Amino acid sequence: MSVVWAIAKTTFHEALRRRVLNIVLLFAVVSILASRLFSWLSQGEEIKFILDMSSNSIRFFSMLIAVLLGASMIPAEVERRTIFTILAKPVGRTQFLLGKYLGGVLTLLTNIAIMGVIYLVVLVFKDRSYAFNATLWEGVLLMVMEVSLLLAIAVATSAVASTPFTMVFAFFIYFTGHMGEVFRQLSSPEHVSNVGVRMLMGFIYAILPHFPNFDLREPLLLGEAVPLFYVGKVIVSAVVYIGVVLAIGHLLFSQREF
Amino acid sequence: MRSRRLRIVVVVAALVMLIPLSYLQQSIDRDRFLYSLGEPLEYWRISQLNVQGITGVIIGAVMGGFRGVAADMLWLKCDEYFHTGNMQRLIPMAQTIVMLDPHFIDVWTVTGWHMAYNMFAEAQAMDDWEGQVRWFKMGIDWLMDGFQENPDSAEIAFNIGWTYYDRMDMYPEAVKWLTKTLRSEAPPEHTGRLLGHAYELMPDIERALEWYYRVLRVTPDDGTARGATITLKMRFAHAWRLVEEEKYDEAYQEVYSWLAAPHGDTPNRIPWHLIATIAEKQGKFELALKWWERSGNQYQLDELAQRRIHALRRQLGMPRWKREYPGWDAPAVIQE
Amino acid sequence: MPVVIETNGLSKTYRGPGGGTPALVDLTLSVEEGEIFGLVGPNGSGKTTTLKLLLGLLYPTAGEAKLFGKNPATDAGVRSRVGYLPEGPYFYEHLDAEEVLGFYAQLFQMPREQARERIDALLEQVDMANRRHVRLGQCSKGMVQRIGLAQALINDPGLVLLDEPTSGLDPLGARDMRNHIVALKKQGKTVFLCSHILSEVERVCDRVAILHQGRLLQVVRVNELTGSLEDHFVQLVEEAERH
Repeated sequence: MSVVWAIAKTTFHEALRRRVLNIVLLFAVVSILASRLFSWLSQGEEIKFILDMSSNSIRFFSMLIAVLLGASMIPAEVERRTIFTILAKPVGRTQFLLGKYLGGVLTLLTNIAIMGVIYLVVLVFKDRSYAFNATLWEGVLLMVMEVSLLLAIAVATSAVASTPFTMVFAFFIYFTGHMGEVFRQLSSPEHVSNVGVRMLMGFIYAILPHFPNFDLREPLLLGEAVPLFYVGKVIVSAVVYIGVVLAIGHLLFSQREF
Repeated sequence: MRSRRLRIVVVVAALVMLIPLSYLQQSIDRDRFLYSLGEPLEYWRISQLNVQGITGVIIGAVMGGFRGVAADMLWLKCDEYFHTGNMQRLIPMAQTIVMLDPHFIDVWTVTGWHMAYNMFAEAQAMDDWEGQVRWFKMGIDWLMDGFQENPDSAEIAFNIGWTYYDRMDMYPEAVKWLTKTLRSEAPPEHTGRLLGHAYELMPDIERALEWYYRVLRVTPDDGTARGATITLKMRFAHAWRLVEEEKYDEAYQEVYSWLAAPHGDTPNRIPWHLIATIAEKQGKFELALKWWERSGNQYQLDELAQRRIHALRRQLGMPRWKREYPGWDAPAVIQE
Repeated sequence: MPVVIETNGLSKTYRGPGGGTPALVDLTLSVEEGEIFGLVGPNGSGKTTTLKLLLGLLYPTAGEAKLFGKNPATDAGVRSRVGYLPEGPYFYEHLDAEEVLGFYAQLFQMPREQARERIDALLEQVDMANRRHVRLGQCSKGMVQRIGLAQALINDPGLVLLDEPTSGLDPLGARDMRNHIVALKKQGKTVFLCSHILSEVERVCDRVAILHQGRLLQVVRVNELTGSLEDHFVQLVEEAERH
C-alpha cells in the first residue's frame, strides 16, 4: 500500500504544477464569479443562474481536468522515460496503475475543493440557505464520483493509447453517457423495428455509465431533499464501475511492453 | 503463468460485474423518475429541438448534461426578442428552453405574459377580437403546460389566475387558479385582495367580503381591503343576501335605488354586474341585457359584460352589439 | 559461483509488417555472482532489449530469462534484489536529489530511518551530498547520472544493471563511473552493463558478450584477449557479415 501511496503522492505533486491544469482551474474560478454577474439579467431567477452556472462550471472544468490529467498520466511517464526506473523496482503494474489513479483523484479533489470554496462564497453572499443545504453537498459528492469515474476511464485508456486518442475517447464516453436515454428509447419497439438494432442499443445502454444520475441540479433548485439511499446507490454504482474500468485498464497495462 | 491466470480471472470477474452494475444503474434511473430528481432528455424531444438560435455550443452543452446552462444562455438571448417584439423567434426559443429545463419558471411566466398581454394588447389596438382571443388562449395554454410541469409553482398558478382575471374577466376561472396559489408556502402578495376583487365582479358579494376579511386578519391595516369591506357592507351586502334567499325583486330594487341616488362619480362595474345578474336570475333577459350594455358601454374593457351582451343578444335573436360610449356624466340607471 | 543471470534461447521480435523485426535472436548466456559482465554491440544490436527482457519491461517471444532463478516478468519480488540505471535517465524534475531517492526508497517499502541513512550514504558516495536540495530540472547531465546510479543502489541490490553508464559523460565523469562500478564488484555485487564504448567496457568488465544484429557472436574473457576488445569485435563482426 505504501508503494501505491508513494506513486500517488508524487503524481499529485506533479499534477499541481502542471500549467494547463492551473489555467483550467483559473477559468473555472472566473466562471463561478461571473455567474454572480450574469444573475442580474434574470430578475426572478437569480439564484437559479448562480446555481446553474457555478455548479455546471465546476462540473465542466473538473471534467476537463479529469480527462486532461487522466489521458496524459501514463503516456507522459513513458515519453519522459520515468516509468522505466519505477517498473524496474518491485512495483507491480497494478500498484503503478492504482497509484497513478489515486494521485489523479487527489488532484481532482483539490481542484474541486478550490472551486467549491469560491462557489460557496458566491452562494453565501446571495442566499445562505442554499450554501448549507444537504442536497448541495450530496450533489458535490456525486459530482466527485462522476469525475472520478471519468478519470478512471481516461487512465485505463491511456494505459495503451496515446494522449490525443484517450482524450477523444473519454469525451466520447462522457457525451454518450449523457445521452443514455436516447439509447434506451432506441431499444424499444415503439421507436425501432429492427430487432438487431434494438438489441445493440439496449446493450450499449446497459453498459454505458449513466452520467445524468450524478446530477442533483433539479432537487437543489426546487429545494427538495434527495433520498439517502439514492445517493448511496449512485456511489456504489460509481465505485463498481471504477473497479471494472481499472481492472480492464490493468489487463491492458500488464500486457504492455516498454 | 499463475499471475496470468489470476489476471484473466480478475478481468472476467470485472466484465461479469457489468451485469449487476447494469441492473443497478437501471434501478437508479427508475428512482430518479419516482423521486423526481430530474428527467432524462428524451429522444423524441431532441428531434423537436428548434434550430433557430441553437449554436454548436448549446448542442454541446445539452449533450454534455449542461442543460441548465444551455437554457440560461438561450433565455438571455430571448431578452433581445422581447425588446424587439419578435414573437416568431421568441416562442420557438421559449419552447426549446422549457424542453431543456421544464422547471425554468421565469420562462413560463414571462412568455405567457408576453402572449396574453403584449400580443393581446396589440390585437386589441387593431380591434382584432379574434386575434385577442387567439393570443389569450395561447397564453393560457402555455401557462397551463407550465403548471403541468410544475404543479407546485405558485407563480405560474398566480399568472394563470391573473390572466383570466385581467384579460378576459373570467372570474370563476381566475378564482380557481388564484386559490391554488394559496396552497404553496409563499403565495404571491395581494392574492387575497385579488380574490376579493374577482368575487366582487363575478358577482358574489358574500365571498368577496369573506376574502377581504381574511386579508384584514393577516394585514389589519390594508387600506383597500378595509375600504372594500365598508363599501360592500354598506351598499350591496344586504342585496346579495336577498339574492341568496331568492328574493330577487327586493334585491333588484335595493341595488336600483342605490344606483339611482346621486353619487357624484360614475359607479364602477360592481353594481351593474350585480343588478344585471339579478335581472337574469329574475328571467328578465332583455332588462339584464340593458344593464350589461350600460356597463359595457361605460367600460371598454369590461370583458364579462361583453360576453354576457353577446350571449344574450344571440339568445334573443338580436343583431350584433356596437359599443356606444355614453360619456362620463351619463346617469347610472337605464331606461327600463 | 552461483548464477545470477541466466538466459536460454531468449528471443524478442517486435510486432510489425512482414512478420516483425527480430531484435534479439536465441540469446543463451549466464552471469555468475560477483562478476562484471558486459554486453556490447553497435546501436540496434539488441543490448537494451536484453536488459528490458531481464527486467520484465519486455516479454520474450521465445525462450526465457531468469534472475536469481526467478522469472522477472512474472515475479515482481525478484526486482527487490536488482538495481537498474537506464540510458540517459529521467526523473521527476520537480523533485530534488533527496526527494527522488526518498521516492524510490518508498517503492521498496523501506522504513523511514533506514531510508534516511541509506540516502545520506548514497548521496555521499556519488558526491551529491552538498547538492541534495537542487531540483533535478536544474541538474547537469552528470549530476542526473550520479543520482541515477544512487537510485539504482538504493536497495543495496545484489545485481546492478547499467545501460550505457558512461554515455554522455565527460572523461572525468566517465572515470568516476568506472570507479563506482569497480567498487560495486568489491562489495560482492554482480554488475551487468551494456555499452557501445568498447574501451570503457574493456577497462572494467571481467567477461564480455558480443552482440550483432540481435545475435550473440561470442562471449570472451577480457584478460584472455590478445589484442584490444575493439579489434576483436571488428574482426568478429566482419566474419559474421561475410557469412
